[in-house]
Amino acid sequence: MELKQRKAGIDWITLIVFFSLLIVGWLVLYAATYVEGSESFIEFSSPIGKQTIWIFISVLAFLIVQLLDEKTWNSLAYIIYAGSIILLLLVLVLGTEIKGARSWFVFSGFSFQPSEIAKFGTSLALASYLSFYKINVKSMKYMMGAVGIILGPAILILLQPDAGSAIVFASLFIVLYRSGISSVYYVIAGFLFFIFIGSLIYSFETITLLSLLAGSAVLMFNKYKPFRAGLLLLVVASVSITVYLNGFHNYGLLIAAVVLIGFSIWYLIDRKSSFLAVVTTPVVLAIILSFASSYTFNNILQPHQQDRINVWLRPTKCDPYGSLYNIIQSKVAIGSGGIQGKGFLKGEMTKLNYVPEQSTDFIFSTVGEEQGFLGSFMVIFLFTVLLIRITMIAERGKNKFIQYYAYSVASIIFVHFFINIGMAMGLMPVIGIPLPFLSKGGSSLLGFSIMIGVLLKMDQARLRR
Amino acid sequence: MRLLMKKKSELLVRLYMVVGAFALVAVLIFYRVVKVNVFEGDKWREKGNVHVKWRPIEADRGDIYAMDGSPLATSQPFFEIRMDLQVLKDKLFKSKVDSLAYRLNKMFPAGKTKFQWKSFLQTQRSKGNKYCLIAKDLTIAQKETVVGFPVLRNSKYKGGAIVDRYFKRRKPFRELASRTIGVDRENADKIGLEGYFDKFLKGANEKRLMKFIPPDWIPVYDPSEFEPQSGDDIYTTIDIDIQDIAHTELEAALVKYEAEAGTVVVMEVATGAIRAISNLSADGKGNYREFYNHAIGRLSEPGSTFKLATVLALMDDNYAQLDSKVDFNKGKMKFYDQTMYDSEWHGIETADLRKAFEISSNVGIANLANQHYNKAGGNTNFIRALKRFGLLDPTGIELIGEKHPYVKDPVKDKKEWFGTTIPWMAHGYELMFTPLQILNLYSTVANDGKMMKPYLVSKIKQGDKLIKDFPPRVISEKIASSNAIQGAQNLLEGVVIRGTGRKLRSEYFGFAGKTGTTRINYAKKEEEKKYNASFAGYFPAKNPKYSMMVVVYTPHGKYYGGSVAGPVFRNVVEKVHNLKLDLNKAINQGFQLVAAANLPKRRIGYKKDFEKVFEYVGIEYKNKSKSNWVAVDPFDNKMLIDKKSIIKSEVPDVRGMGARDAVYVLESLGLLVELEGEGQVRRQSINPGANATEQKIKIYLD
Repeated sequence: MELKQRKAGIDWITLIVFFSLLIVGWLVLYAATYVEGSESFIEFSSPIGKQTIWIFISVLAFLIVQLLDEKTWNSLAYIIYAGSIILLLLVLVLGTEIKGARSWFVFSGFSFQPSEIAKFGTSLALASYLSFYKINVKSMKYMMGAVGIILGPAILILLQPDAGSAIVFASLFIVLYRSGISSVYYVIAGFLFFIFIGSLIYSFETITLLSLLAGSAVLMFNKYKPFRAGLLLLVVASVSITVYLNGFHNYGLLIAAVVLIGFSIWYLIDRKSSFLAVVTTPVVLAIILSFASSYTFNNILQPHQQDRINVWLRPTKCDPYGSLYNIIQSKVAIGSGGIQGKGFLKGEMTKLNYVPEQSTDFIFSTVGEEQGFLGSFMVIFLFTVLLIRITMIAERGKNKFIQYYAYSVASIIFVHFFINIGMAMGLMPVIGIPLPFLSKGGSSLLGFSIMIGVLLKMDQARLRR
Repeated sequence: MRLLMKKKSELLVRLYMVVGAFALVAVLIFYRVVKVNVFEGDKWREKGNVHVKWRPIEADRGDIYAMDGSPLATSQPFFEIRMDLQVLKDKLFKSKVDSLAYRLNKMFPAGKTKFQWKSFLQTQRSKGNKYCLIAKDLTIAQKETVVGFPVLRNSKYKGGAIVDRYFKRRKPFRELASRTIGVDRENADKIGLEGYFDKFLKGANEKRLMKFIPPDWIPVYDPSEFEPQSGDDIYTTIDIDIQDIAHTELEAALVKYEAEAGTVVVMEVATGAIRAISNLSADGKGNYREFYNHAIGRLSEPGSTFKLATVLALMDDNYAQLDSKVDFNKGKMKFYDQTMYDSEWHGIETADLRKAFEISSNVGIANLANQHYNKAGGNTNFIRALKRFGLLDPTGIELIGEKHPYVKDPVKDKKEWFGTTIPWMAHGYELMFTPLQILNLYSTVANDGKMMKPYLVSKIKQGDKLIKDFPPRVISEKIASSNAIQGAQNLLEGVVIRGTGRKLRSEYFGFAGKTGTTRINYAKKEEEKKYNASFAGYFPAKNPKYSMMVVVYTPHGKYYGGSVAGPVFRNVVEKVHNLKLDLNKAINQGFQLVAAANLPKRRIGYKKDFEKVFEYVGIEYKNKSKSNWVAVDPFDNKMLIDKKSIIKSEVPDVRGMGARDAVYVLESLGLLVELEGEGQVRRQSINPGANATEQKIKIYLD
C-alpha cells in the first residue's frame, strides 16, 4: 500500500531541455526580429512581444497539464482529436488567408493555427487506438484504422493548402513501425522513394540503365564464379555506360537491355523462371516508377512545385536570385557565422533581414550567424537529447498508451527538427515548417509545450503500483 | 517463450532502427553545419556582400502650416506600382491579362495601347521579371484605382503587386511667403524655415537595403512594412489672409514703381508673432518673385523711420518733450564740414519737436540730437539708449541669415566716429538695420514699451503630439519710460493726421506710423539719385493689434516713403481692417442689439463697401439701388441703401461721404478739390446741382 503512494519525480533532463529550448528560442527570435534602436520586446504588437505572451501562455498550459490526472488524456483522446478535426474544417471556411494558405484564425492581432493542435490531438488518438487491447496492427483492418487516423487531419491540412504541416503527419508512420507493422511496407516505400529521388536527380534513362545493369549483375553472379561474372559485368557496364555518356543514350540502353534479355532467355531455358522473376520484377518496377516520376515531375507538377524540388535536388539548375535565393541567403548567414558566431544581435544579415522568412522557416540561420558553429551545435545537441530522452520515456512507459504517445511526440519533433534545420542548409526541400520552440509562431509553441507537458505528467505515473 | 523472445528481439531491433534514424539525422545535420559553417565559410561570407547595396530613402517630411492650419509646404505622397510577374499562376495571368491591359490603357491613355500592354506583360513575364514597372508618380487615388485592377487586386503573393511610396514637396500657396517657408533642396543648403527647422521636418531618414535580382534592384524589406519615422510638422504664425494681402499690395506697388525689390512684414503687437512676411525681388523678366529674404537679410540705412529711435532716446533721457523748441534753420544746416538738408522745403525757422517729427525735418531732429548727444559721454548715452531699444542686437528670428545691426560705437570705433556721426545717425544714416529690426522698435512702441521677440513658429507637432511649444517671449519688459513711449505714440499718430503721412489718412480706420525716404547712393554724386522708400507703423492707432514695416527698394518715378511705401501700408491696413472683425470696434462695439438709435447715421459712399460692413456687423439692410454710389439711411430698424445719382455735368452732393470717396467722386468730374478738417464732409463750397466745370471746390470735414 505504501508503494501506491510513491510517485516518480518529473524527468528532470527533459524538463531542463524543454525550458532551455524556450529560453534559447526567445533569445534567437529576439535577435531575428531585432530592429536596431527599438525596445520591441516590451511592445506587445511586435513579433517578439507577441512571442513573449505566447511563452507565458505555453508555460501556463504546461503547468495546468501537470495538475490534471494523467489518465485524463487517454479518455479524452478521441474528443480532442474530433475537436481538432472540427477546427481544421472550420479554418477552411472561416480562416484567414495568409501567404496563400487558409491556415489561421486571426483575432485581435493574435493568429492561431489549428494544425498545431491537430498534431497533439492526432498523437493522442493514435496512441489510444494502438493501445486498445483488441487492436492488432498486423491485421490489415486495424492497420487501416491507424492510417486513417493519421491521414484524416493531414488531408484537411493539404486542402488549406499547407503541404509542410501535412507532411509532418507522415512522421507518425514511425509510431506504426514501432508498434510492429510489417517492415515490408517500409522497405517498399524506401525503394519507391529512392527511385523517385534518383530519377529526379539523374534521369529516367540513367535509372533505367542502372536498373538493367543491376539485374544483369545479379543474373551473372548467379551463373558464373565471382571473377568471371565481375569481368563480364565490367565489360558490359563500361561499354554501355561509355556509349550512353557519349550521347548515344538509346544505344547504351539497348546494349544493357540486350544483355539482360539474353541472360533472361538463358534462365528461362534452364527453367529457373522463379528466380528470374524475383530479379526482373524489381527491375521492371524500377523502370516503370522512374518513368512515372519523370513524367509526373515534368508534366503534372506546377512550376513552383518543380522549383521546390529543383532547389532541393538539382540546385545547379536553379536561378540563384530566384527560387534558390532563400537557401543561398540562409547558407550565407550560417556560413558567415564561423566557429564562434558574430555575437548576439550582431548578425548583419539577420539584422538587415537578409534572409527571407528568417523568423520562421530559416530561424536556424540566425543561430548560425550570431552563435556560429558552437551555437548550432548546442541547438542540435538539445534536440538530440530531447529526442533520445523521449524515446527513453517511451521505452520505460508502463502502458502502451504512454509508449505510443511518446513515440508520436518524438516523431513529430524529429521531423520538424530534421526538415527545418535541413532546409536552412539545403539538405531538405523548403516546405515551410517551423523549428519547435525557436520559430516565431504561438500555436506551434503552445502545441509542443502541451505535448511535452502531457508526456512528462504521464511519465511520472511509471512507478505507481 | 521462444516466440516471446523473438517478438521482444524484433521490437528491440525496431527500437534500434528508430533511435538509429534519430541519431543518423542528428549526425547528418551536424555534418552539414560543419560543412556550411566551417569548410565553406569563406565562400558564403564572400557571397554575402556582392549583391546588396543601401539606398537612402527619405522620410515623409513634416508639413509647414499657417496659423489656421492651411498647409504652406507639404509633402505629397506619390506611388509607384511594380509587379512580380513570377508569382502569378498561369491560369490567373492568362485569364486576366486582357482585362488588365484594357484597364491600364484606359487609366493611362497617353501610354501604351491595350495590345502593347498585353505583349509587354507577356514578354516581361516570360523574362521572369520580378519587379516590372507598371506606373509611377501616381496620386493616392490613382494608386487605389490601379491596385483594384484585375490580377493586381489579388493578394501580394497571388497578384504580385508591389507598391512603393515616395514624396514630393509642394507649396499650395505657391509664391506666398515662399522665401520664408524656404526650400528643401538636395545637395545644397536648405533655406528659410525648411532650413532652420530641418532637423524636425526631415524625420528619421532611413536607408533601404536593396538586393540585385537581375535586371533590377529590389528592396530586401517589404517597403510598406518598413517605414521611416516621418518628420514633425511646423506650425507657423503666418496668417495666410494677411500674407495674401501683403503680397498682393507689395507686388502691385513694385510693379507700379518698377522697383528693384520690396518687403512687407506684419507682426502681432502683443506677442511678436509674424503674421505676414513678403519678400519680392525683380526677376529681370518683369515679374516679382520670392528670391531673397530682405526683411531679415538686408541691411540698409533706415533713414527717417529711425527718427523714432532718436526722439524716443531724447524723451527717455528727459532731454526733450513733445513741445520742446527745435531749431529748423529753414531746413538747411551745416554740421562741421557737411551740410544737411530737409527733404522738402518748408521755410520754418523754429517749431516744436512734434512738428519736426511730423514733417520729418532732418535738420530739426539732428539739431536736437546734436545738442544733447554730440559730446563726450553724450554719444555713449545715445548708443546706450539704442541698446535699451534692442537696436544693437539681432531679433533672433528663427531663420538662418539674420544680419547683425551695424551701429558704430564711440569708444570702440573711434576712428570712424566723426563730429557728424550723431546728427547723421539721428536721422537714420551711418547705421544699418534690417527691416525687421526697425519694425520691432515700432511694434514695441505700439505695445507700450514691452519688447517681444519676433517669431515665426508657434509649435512643432508630430501628428497630434506636441513636440515643442514656442510661446511669445519678452525681450524687455519696458524699453523706455511710459512718458517717452506715450510721446512716441503721439508723434506717430500725428504723422498720419498732419504730417508726411496725412494723405494716407482714412476716417474708417486709424493707424500710426512714420515715413522714411533714404538716399542710398549719396556718396556717388555723379550717379542718378536712388532711394529706398519705407513706412513703419502700427494699427489701429488706439489699442494697436498689428505693426507693419513696408520697404520698397529703389523705386522709379516717385521715391518718397509717404507716396511709395505709405500707400502699400494703408491698403494693407484697410484690407486687414475689413477682414478682421475685431478691429472694427468703432461700429461693432460688442454684441449689443442693433436698434434704430444705434444705427449709423446717413452716409454716402461706394455700395459694396457698405454691404460688406453691414454684413460683418450684422445690420440688416435693404438694397434698392443698382448703381455704385449710394446713400444709406437708417430706416425702420434697417439700413436702406438707395441710389445716389451722380450726374456727369452737375456738382454732386458729397455731404456725408468720407474724404476719400468725396475726393474720388469730385475729381472724376474734373473738379479740383481742396480739403479742410478731418472726418465726414459737412459742407461743400459749391452747392449740389451746379454745373460742374473745371473749377476749384472746397469741402469741409469734421
